[in-house]
Amino acid sequence: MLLIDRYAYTNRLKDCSPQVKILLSCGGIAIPRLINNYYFDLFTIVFMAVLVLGIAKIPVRSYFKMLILPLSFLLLSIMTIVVSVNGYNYLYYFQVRNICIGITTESLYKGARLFITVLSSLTSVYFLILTTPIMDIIRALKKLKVPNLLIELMVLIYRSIFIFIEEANNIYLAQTMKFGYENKRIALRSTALLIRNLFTRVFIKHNEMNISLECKLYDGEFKLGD
Amino acid sequence: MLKVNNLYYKYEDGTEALNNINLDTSKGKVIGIIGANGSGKSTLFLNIMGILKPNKGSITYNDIPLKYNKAYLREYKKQVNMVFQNPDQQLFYSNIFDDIAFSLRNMGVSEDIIREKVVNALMQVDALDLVDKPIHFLSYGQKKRIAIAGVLVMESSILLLDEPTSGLDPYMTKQMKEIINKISSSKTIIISSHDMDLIYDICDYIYILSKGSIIDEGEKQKVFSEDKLLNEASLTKPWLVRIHEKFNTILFKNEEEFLSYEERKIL
Repeated sequence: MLLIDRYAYTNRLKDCSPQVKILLSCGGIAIPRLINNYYFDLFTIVFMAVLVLGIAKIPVRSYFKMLILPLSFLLLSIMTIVVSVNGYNYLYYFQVRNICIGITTESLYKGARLFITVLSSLTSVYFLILTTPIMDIIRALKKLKVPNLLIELMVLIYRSIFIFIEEANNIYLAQTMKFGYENKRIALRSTALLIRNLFTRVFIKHNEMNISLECKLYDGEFKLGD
Repeated sequence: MLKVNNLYYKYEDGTEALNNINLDTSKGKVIGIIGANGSGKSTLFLNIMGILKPNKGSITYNDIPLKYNKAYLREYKKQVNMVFQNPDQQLFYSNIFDDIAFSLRNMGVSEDIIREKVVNALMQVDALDLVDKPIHFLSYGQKKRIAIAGVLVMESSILLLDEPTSGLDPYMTKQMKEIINKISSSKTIIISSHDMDLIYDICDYIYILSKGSIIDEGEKQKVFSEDKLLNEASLTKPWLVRIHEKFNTILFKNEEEFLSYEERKIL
């Protein structure tokens, strides 16, 4: 089971109206863009963090742990912005022949602003996914008249993710029992085997699913109620 | 009433999976099909469902032979339906209500009636308290119940259950027995299993399948007294029959009868 999912179903805000939460989350992304104020971004981050940690009572440690993954991507991309070539007012730089590579005040400022901006959107999205079960989101999307095709896809992908993770987990466990990850060489081979197995199992599952769909009178559309 | 007449089925590679199968659901209320792994139980079920087409022979429902066109099979499946062994195979939604409502929505039933029928089906499998949980939070036994509810909701008159108790703990197995007993009052049930105790407990007519052929059929007391045939099919006798033969005591029809007899004796 995904950690995110567990929190979504157990946090203290789970019974709040999903529309309000979606609105808050979308607002947290859109309004700072419109106002375009550095302090407002910071405010959004703090606001969302308080909502998630203080009110929804998501454990602080797991919240930051979950943030680490997107943050590491973010930091990598910010690096490329902060480092500038042949700029002015260097805070620190080194020279390769006649090219200056370093950090300028301006690029640092730009990087920091971008970082804060992205982080404010990120915390807003995290607020939504950590406090709202996916079924509530889907129900809200349906009220908002989002095309059925998209919702169907969401429903099916969401269910398949869990079957997929479970399947991968089972194979991985079976492999570890048989010392499949003892050293790097074996681990690499085991991983290849795992991927291959997963691939064939997906097809088997697909086949089984088609049979049961037929039994349940499937006619080409995954219907959803109101 | 469902009948299988002289049915033969061959796989694409030429292996004979089913040979001259004859089956008649009018012989009992709960029909058991027992056989070892690979004896052809699941293949027979897929044939009955019209998903596999037999090479020879026919399947008749209410004396009308099965037609293999889409429209006919669709109507047929409203009458004859099946619960698969692996519950994950037939749960598509993450939400229990939507999943059980799936077939009804495919039939175009209105939402009000759907709500009523889904609640009813959940009550039959004693799982009403699970309705708000996402499916991936459920245990295997709970998933199995939801899968059964998802088929019960169609109110078919014949229900096939493929290994309904495999992988269940003793408590869930007992509950499953109760569920089967409960739903058998309103429909004919065909169960495939190699849990001999279960079959002996709840079935009233039994077919023994071995290597694709039916080698014996009859009332449960008769079928389970045939040592040679059971051996041939790689099956064993239920414990009630074994005790009866070993100690020459009464042959009880099911566990309940056995337990209540004991109590009387002690008193």
